[in-house]
Amino acid sequence: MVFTVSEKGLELRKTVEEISGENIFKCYQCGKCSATCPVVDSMDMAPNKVIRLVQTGDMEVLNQNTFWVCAACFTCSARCPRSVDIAKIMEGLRNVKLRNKQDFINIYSKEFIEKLIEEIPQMAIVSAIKKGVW
Amino acid sequence: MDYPYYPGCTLKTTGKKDEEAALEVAKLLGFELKELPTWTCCGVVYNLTSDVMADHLSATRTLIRAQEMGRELKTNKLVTLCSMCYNVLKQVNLMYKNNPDKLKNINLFLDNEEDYLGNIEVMHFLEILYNDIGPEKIKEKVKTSLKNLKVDPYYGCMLLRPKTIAFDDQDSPHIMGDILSALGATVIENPMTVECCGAHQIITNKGAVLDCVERIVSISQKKGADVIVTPCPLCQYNLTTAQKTLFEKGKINRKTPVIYLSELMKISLTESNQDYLKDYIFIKDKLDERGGL
Amino acid sequence: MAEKNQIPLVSVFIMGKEYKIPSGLTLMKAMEYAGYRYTRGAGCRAGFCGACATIYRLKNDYKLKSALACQTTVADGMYLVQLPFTPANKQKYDMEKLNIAHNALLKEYPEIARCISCNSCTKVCPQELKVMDYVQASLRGDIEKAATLSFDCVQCGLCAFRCPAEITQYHVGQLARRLYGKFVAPKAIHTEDAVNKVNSGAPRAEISKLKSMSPAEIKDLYKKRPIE
Repeated sequence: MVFTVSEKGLELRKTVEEISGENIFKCYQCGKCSATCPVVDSMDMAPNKVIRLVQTGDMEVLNQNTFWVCAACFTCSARCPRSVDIAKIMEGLRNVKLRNKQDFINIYSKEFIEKLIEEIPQMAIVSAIKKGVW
Repeated sequence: MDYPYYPGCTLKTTGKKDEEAALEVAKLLGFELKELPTWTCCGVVYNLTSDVMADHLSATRTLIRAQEMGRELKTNKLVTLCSMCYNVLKQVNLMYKNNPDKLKNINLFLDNEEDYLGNIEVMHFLEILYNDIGPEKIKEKVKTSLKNLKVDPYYGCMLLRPKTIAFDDQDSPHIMGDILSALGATVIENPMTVECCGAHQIITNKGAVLDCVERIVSISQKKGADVIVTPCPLCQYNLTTAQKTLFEKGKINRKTPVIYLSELMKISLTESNQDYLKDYIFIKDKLDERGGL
Repeated sequence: MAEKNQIPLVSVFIMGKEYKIPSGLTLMKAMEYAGYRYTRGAGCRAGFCGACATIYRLKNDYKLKSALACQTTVADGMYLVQLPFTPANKQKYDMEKLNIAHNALLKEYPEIARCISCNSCTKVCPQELKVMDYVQASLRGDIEKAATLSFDCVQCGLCAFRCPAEITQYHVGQLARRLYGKFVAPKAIHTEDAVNKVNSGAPRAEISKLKSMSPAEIKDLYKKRPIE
């Protein structure tokens, strides 16, 4: 089956590779990253599948919540047999969205401000902001 | 020996107990942690993009402060208690070692600071305890043995990943366990010791944190741990808060207390201090019932 | 006329247009000399109200400088614009309902967690305050440090304009000072005592007595007053 990547898809792939500094095609879909990811159950799509979509230039990848739920724990990168830094690829995808002014940052989420902000360690708030999830 | 010490925002607020205990433990072991005179947030989490430099500014300023204080104290080390601060500072430091052009760039931008020369050695408190002091010396100084107390050392992600900054084995770390054994405690082996606690997802996706914590705590409880010991304030918060919810939902049938390594060390390195132990009834009771104190 | 010709003139570019201004004038006087009439952006004219925030560059210098127009004199080649207003929502809070739990300032202004320590705020402050330091102190709940470092702030708004994290530093500093005054600063007991004394009516008798005296009697009393 012949499969053509769209213009946008090619651009997405190039941008993700540039921002992350990783070679997307090193991944051979072994699935180890998804197997080891601690938060994979909350993701719409497993990390290895997300990488596959970037490889094939499928724009659907930008609608997944995978890289927003990512806790940046680096376990996937530590386990990958081909030394692909999946954490960096997730950061690349987050930045593709953030740099297109598609902010995930909702800094005045009412429930959080009223209840949790007084007891949560600062490091949680700062890292959530840095990863664009709040 | 005096070490420049970088606290980080959280250790001044929710993690205050960790700092208080650690400063005292240091004195008992013969060294001193001297706080940097001024400092900014470390800029957690390390920015993984290849082009952004702004997110590294906070960490760079911290390294310059350490450079300044290092000249006074004649050392190039910087000690931190918080795992995330350690991770960011060490990765930023390494990034400058591997990319001298980025270091040049940031020095150019920071025009009212001195140039960062790239020579600071970032260390975590655990490294000082294990390498500079050593479990043998710690054992000698034990006044209250934690005999028969079952502890579960929980590392979390930030101390051992990525490999370039790890100071212990990535899959089976032993440093914290060795120190706890030196204090007389029985160390439980938990395969989930380096599993992530969910970190910042506690804010937007609490379900993910509940899953992670259930995985860690259920094995810990099955193996009979009395207390979970961790160096990271966020792990301590996540493990404690998630256990409350898991207990209410009936997913676990008891709540294991989670405390900082420095607090346990303080208990062990001082004479049975009844006043201080009032806050740690769960440990005192366990030790009492097994004739430990 | 002869004196005016002896004062050297300098070139000042106001919003791109060149004017020849006698040196020694403040920027504010220079604008009025050039023919501009202030309807916004001028207040106390004494360096206290923060209304006349000005940003400028000098010839052949890429660095951006800031000033309060009423306090700074013209320099040759100054290339300036004024910023009379900063759009910055202030959070509405009830001082009676606040407390100083460690994240008190974060609760009202969570954007302080976005601070990347770039120092742009400190560089632009015309009062030379340590703005980045007090924002960082607010992030970690050190209300005393935040209040002390921000004390001389005139709320000109330049810091908020330059901040890439979109923090409104001067509002944060104001809340820090309010919290400090209400919760942290030691109470002035002697003031409370004096107010209580007045409220209890203690001086009333003496005041009534003075009011009933004639001017001659009062003058006499004044001459005979005890001088320590």
